[in-house]
Amino acid sequence: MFLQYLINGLSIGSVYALIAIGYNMVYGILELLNFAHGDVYAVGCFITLALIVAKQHLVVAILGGMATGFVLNLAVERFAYRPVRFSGRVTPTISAVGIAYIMRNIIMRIWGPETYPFDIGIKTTYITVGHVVFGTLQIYIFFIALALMLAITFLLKRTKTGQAVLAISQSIPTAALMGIPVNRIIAFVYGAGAALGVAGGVLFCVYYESIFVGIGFMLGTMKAWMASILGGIGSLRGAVIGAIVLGLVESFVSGYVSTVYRDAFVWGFLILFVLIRPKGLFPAQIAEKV
Amino acid sequence: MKKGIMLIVTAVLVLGSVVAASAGERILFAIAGPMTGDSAAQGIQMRNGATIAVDEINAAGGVNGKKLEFIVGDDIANPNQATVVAQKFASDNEILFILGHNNSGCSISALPIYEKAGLPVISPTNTNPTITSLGYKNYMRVIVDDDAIVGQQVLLAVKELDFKKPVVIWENTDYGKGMREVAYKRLKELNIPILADESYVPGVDRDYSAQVTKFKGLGADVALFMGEYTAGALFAKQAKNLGLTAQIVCGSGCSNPKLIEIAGPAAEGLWALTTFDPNDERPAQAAFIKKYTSRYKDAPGEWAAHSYDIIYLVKKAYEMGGTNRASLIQKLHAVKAFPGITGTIQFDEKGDVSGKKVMVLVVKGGKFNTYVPKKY
Amino acid sequence: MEKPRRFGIPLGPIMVAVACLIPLVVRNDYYLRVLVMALLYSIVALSINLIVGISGQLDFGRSAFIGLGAFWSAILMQRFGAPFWIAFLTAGLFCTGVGAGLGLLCRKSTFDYLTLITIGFNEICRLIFLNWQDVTGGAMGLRRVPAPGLFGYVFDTHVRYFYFALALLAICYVVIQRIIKSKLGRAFEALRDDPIAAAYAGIPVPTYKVINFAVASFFTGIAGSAMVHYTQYASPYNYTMDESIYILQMAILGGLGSLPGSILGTAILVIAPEISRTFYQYRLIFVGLMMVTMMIWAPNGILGKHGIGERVIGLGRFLPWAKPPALEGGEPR
Repeated sequence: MFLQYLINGLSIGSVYALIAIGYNMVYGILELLNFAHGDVYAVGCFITLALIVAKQHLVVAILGGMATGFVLNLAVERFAYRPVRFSGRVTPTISAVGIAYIMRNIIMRIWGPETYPFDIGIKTTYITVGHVVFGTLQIYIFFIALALMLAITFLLKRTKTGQAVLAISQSIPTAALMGIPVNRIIAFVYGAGAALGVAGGVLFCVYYESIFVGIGFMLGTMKAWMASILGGIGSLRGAVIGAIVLGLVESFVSGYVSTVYRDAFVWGFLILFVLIRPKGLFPAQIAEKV
Repeated sequence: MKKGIMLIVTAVLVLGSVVAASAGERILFAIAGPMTGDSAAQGIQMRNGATIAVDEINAAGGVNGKKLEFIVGDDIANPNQATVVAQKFASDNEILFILGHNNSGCSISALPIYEKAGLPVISPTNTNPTITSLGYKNYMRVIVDDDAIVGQQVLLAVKELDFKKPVVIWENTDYGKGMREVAYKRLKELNIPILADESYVPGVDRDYSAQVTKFKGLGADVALFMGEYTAGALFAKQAKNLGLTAQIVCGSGCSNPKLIEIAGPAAEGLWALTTFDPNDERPAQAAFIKKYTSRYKDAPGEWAAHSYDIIYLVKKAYEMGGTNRASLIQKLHAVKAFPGITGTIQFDEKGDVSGKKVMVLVVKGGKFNTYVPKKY
Repeated sequence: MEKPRRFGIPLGPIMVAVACLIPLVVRNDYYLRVLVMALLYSIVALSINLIVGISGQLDFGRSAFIGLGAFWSAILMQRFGAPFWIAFLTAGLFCTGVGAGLGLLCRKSTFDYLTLITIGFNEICRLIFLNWQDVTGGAMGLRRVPAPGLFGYVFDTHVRYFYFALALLAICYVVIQRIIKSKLGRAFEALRDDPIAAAYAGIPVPTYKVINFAVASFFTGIAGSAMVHYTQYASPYNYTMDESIYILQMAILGGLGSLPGSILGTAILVIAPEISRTFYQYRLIFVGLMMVTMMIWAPNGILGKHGIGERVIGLGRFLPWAKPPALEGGEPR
């Protein structure tokens, strides 16, 4: 059973990792608490659902959802975040919370709180090795997460845009002085983060063959946030590893300790971790004002 | 001369309409349930079921000539909000009775306020076994409680289907916990040990792999599922994927056809209990189902069906003399063997309907089929 | 610091006196209930103001403390037969202790971590309330919680409770105001404005974070106790993060840093859903919209410094920090 719990943990962890990557685009790089990440990409995922139900092609549906997420986050950034970018830390956070509620309620108004079947024609085959069962989709997700992480790290280091993003994460005024179009790049990062979030969300829905409004905040933003804290803010690699650790912890606590108190234990673990190693597993070398 | 006649006719018409208007008093009641939020679908069904009954009755002349009208209070399935709603209704002296609440927790928190106001409260869906033991004389419910439902669930699994190695999976709410306790009690009476019991968080949890893995490792042959249909569907799916061979037997939360939609082929062979069969072909039930489906584009569930019965039941009690709050309570208890679409309704001293049967459904060919148990 | 009282009339006591007249006019139990809840939630909003507004720590887990105060007080009275005033005061002290503990946990944490930890704490508390059946009644919560009584006088009608809540709010308001004006309060404000400078000025930032949490939690705790004895029901479904954020919005709407603002914001957010069905149905969207628009155009709320009240309605003349126009300096946003 240990092996099965391990596989389960790795699977759910990879799904979290996908979502954490999108989240970290903004949180890790711009260090802004993106409370609305989950709810914005959830809108994109529901658009994908709507397109599938309207019998559109699989690729069209997914790209449509990602595009929606991208554009939506651009708008949100422009109208709700940019005006308060330099207003301390409380104000932008509250603004993001507001956006999260608005997005969540738009989804609830249109689709309601129910769960819908999510079928995009990808069927997972399940393989049994001894006592352990795992699905092919789980393997794909794991490697997609790793591949994305490597790709983005590469892009950040080797492309001009990537360098610009890194510069912005260090200091916005300085980057502006260097001639970097700060507003455009930040907008792009938000957009890309949402698009990636939609991709992650869609894979999440494919994995569980269902979609509901909670994939946004509860299962998206919160998990991604926890993963980023575990892995270290500012480190993409850390977020992925943190997500996998989170998945493993959830799986083992569920299996060996208690399903009833599982969340309490996971939170307790997280709090303890933050106290012992506040910078996370792979802290990025960014100066932090206490 | 003509002018004179016109004047008289007009006067008669005006007087006539005035008389008609004042003769048409109304009977006002309140529906309390979740109209927004996660459980909104249930509250809306309650309202719809009641609306169909109210419209039918009013079209046939009303109750003793009076029209039925109602107002709606939204408790979002939150006990705190339920007390606010209750306070609002209790302060309104025109309200005759309360149809609600939907959730046992909400009823429990609101009952002290209703009791103080002497309001009769009839619930269509409270299944918590303890409510009727709390001593509220103004409370009644037309649905059997979890004791009966889970009791039947256990009998179905053990006596009818002959399973001996049960596991229990329950939703971590008062609803699920109550059912779990009954399951333990009943299985103990039958001398069958429970191999394991695990819970999940309804509305949030998507991943049941831990529970499935544990059950598989213990070699369970039946999984008693105590929760709502969304979780049931996901659990069934993941059980199939991970190779759990145990048969899934659900309680009354799973009889919604959406379960099959979400679970797909994994739902084949799943058992569920229900207090109202959406495929019922008997005339009265089928008529109700047809009316509901054509008006609301959705299949009626137990919330709608029980609410429908409550309205007709109150009509009966009113006609028997229950025209104010206190006498209504009395007359409701006095009604004998009322034939509702959900079964025969007759309250015992505690406000329960103990004689009603629970129906068994099984998923075959992608839809719920009615099943008649033979061995119990 | 001079507080210009434009007309030489203390606004506070006047408002209290006016409020005392309300139960004579309002007879409907339901309206009274809404008002009492507004009064009690105002106390919570004041405590949030102390943490978020004055000290700049973003706390998303206040409702856990309401719950802690509520359950402690209810259990003490119901199970151990303690008299109300003991249950009430010890609930506050219990929450002070827990608040101090929480503060200790995150005293060295940065802004985000602190917020995350408060969310986690809220969740852990909620789960404990939900699952510790023997003590908290589990999912069904505690019922028939006894009404409070002092020296034999039992507060079991809405009117009596109204006066009790009003008195409680008035006392808490005065105490918190005193705290803010004291050296402690200035230290708290330093935490918000510039923690590094504060550290250099000799204020041990971590210690003051702990004190801040502890003191504010006392008020949250007693508010929770007062609430549970009023509703006579304690349910774990009340103490969620959504609730925490709704309460936070009460303080924000009124203006962070403004005590009268907290009361106003609370009044609006408690009463509006009862008045307007639309507001009730769409309340979460409204709160969301409120948050976004306010952060952009009126981050200081209605009665906060340079808030809506000051700029739009000209209430600025009556507010304590109003200066004669000639001396008004620019406020960094």
